[in-house]
Amino acid sequence: VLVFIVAPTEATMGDVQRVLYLHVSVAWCGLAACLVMGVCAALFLGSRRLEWDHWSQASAEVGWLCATLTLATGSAWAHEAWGTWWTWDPRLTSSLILWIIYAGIIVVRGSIDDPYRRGRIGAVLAIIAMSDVPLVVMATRWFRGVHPVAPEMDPSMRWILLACVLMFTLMFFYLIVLRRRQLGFAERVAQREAELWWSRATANN
Amino acid sequence: MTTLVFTYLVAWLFIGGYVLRLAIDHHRLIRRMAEIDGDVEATPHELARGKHVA
Repeated sequence: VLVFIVAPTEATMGDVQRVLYLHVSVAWCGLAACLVMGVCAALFLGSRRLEWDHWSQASAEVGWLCATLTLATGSAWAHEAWGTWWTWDPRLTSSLILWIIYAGIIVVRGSIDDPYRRGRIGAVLAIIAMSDVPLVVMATRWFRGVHPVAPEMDPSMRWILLACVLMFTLMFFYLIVLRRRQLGFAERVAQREAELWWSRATANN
Repeated sequence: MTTLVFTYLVAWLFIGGYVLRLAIDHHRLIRRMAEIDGDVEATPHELARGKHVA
């Protein structure tokens, strides 16, 4: 409602500029999820408690979701603003690298059955992934490209952008909490399955 | 305007798809736990909270 009705129409780009509210929000959430993923991964390595690994995995999944949305919304906006769906701008390239890292972590995790081994390897990858965050944030300042750095905007637009960022952050954090809870439950189910298998095996012998 | 609406629509469908996946996985896990314990009296909420974990 804020984006479509309250936010003023931008003079140069028109309605399509409203993609900004979604694009910036999901981009921020993607970066924040990467930091949460890395910190939880480090905590898992330090404590070997699977709860931290579940936080890390949940953040990786939600972060991948946000990174995908960042690339998709940015691409749609770039098509209108720059006349191309994609260009090898430093900000875009570093965001694509983040997406690939997220996807890689999810694929690697999915291929390992042992939860502690999965957690260890996932944690190392998650900590490496964190190094891409400053690159994405500073890409527009460190390198020359077409992506805007921090454009001036009307105060009403800035407040709506802030509200959108806050709402999306809360929503994605809730999704991380839900997913983490589910991963904990899946772990308990796996333990019960193992107990059942063991009790049947001993009964047969 | 078409690009704007299409972008928001696709984004929300994508987020909705993830939420749907969470719901399906959750339902599958609850059914599996009920199968293991053979307890039909426990509510899905109790199962999810780990009522059956020894």
